[in-house]
Amino acid sequence: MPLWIVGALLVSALVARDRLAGVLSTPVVAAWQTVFMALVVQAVPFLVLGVVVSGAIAAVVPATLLARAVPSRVVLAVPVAAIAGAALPACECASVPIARRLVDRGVTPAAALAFLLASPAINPVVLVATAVAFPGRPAMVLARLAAGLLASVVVGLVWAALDGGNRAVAGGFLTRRLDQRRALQERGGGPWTTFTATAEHDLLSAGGLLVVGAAAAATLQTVVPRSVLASFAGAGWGSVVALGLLAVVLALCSEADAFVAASLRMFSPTAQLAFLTVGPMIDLKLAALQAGAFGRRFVAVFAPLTFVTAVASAAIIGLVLL
Amino acid sequence: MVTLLLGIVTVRIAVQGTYQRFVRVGMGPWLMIAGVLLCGLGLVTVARWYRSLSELGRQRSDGDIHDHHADDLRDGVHEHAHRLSPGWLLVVPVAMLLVSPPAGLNSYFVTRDSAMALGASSPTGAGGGTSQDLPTFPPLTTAEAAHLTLLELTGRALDRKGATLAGRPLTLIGFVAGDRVDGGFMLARYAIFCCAADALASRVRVLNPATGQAVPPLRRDQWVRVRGVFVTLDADDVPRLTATDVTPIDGPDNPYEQPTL
Repeated sequence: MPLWIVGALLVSALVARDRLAGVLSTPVVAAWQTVFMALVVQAVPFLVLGVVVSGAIAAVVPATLLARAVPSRVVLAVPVAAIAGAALPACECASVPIARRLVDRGVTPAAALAFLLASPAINPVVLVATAVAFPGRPAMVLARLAAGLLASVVVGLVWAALDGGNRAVAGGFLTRRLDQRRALQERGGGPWTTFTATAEHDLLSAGGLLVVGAAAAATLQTVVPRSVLASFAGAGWGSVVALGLLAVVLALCSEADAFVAASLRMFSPTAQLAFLTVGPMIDLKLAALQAGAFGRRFVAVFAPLTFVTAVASAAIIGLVLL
Repeated sequence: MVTLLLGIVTVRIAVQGTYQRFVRVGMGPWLMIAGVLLCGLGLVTVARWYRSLSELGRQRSDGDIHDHHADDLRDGVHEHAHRLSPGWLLVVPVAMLLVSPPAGLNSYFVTRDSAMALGASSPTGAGGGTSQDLPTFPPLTTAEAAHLTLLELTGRALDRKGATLAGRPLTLIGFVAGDRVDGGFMLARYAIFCCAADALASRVRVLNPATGQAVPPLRRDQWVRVRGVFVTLDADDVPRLTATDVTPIDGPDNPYEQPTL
């Protein structure tokens, strides 16, 4: 994308300012615009945190160190990585570039993906927010932790199995993409160059698609009628899937979703747990971020796998604990 | 280039306070830090890009096109241009903030049956909640009555049928969210936890007792300050208020209420 196109877009937007402002001020467009901007603005600090950590890993952490720090047996590496996710007290936007960099630095993709899924679901900030949103119901916090860990580990292990059996479907294309990137980086200069080049690359690839994800989420929030949701409220297992889908559509920050889940009182606790388990792992915004970081073919496999596993984990944990 | 632009508008909304229309107030400092980092990263990248462009130009004028280093440089420049391809989409929110920043959530989600679930419920218990887990409130102080949030009004109205509100003169700030009802109007305000995408609307029916129609003509989405007294909780869990005074005001910098956690 040459610079002049970017410039031309900006200039034409400024020239057509009045007409554009007229369209943008109709109530439905203004509402859409606010939700869209809210999703983008909210993601910016977390995305910056993610790409700074990612750049630092690329620049100063030796390539072999992380690979050695993670257990070599996948069956151990996946749970260890999932539990390590608790150490990153941030929303999901930060964990995407970091997980991608972990793969780049030689961590088994299955383990990095377990980290990616677990971190926003089970970190202390999110668990405290959940406890506040569900006063007097500590079982919900425990259930969220358990369902988050379970889903992350299962997706990681399934991915490892796919990876070993059929690299073309699972890890093959992913590894190839990253190998190309690494070759480009190693040709460059010192750690500072690597840091800035990596951070900017991750920011633009994730950030550009974040815009697509935020636009899709804002559109569905604006046009899908609430009555569609209410019709699932009494429908047993259907309601569990319905709230899982709602989490995908709303694309909320994992620090806030517990409050929204708590307000969905017409739904069963297990359905609320599905909302809390799916939301941090896969939603429209996250799928877009993941497509930017790992590629579209990756998301085509990973997103459905994650959704089904998260809903199933919530259903099982809900049966046991709630 | 896109990084630099994103950094500039991020710093701008943090400084101007416009960010409060989109995310919770506590995010301000973090947006500032993120914006400054983005500006720095953008400057470094732009500088590096121009340096490699000019170096490439120099190599070319030396007639040294087949030099391996020049190939590398050209690849670098090419790759940079190519790499921007998804990133340029960030121009959309940047342009939106520069051209016509939205004023914050309007009444659209209050009145429309939308997937923003939550549209017309309150986290303190509306929407089919059972009564045993509703919070109970201490008596209202005079200072609180002068700055009551719609969120707290709804919570207090649900608590023992509004016992803590009875007879107290209240002051509320919100926007006009609906057509006139029984000679009054619907007052609303959103509460947000993280960003405007997780907003919950609280509503109050405002009526004028003396004349039944003395409320000044108000357009939808107009911000108003309402003084009045709580009457009752309607069947749909919306509190009802009789107004003594309704004043149109400019929208506050922070259009949202912050739930106390």
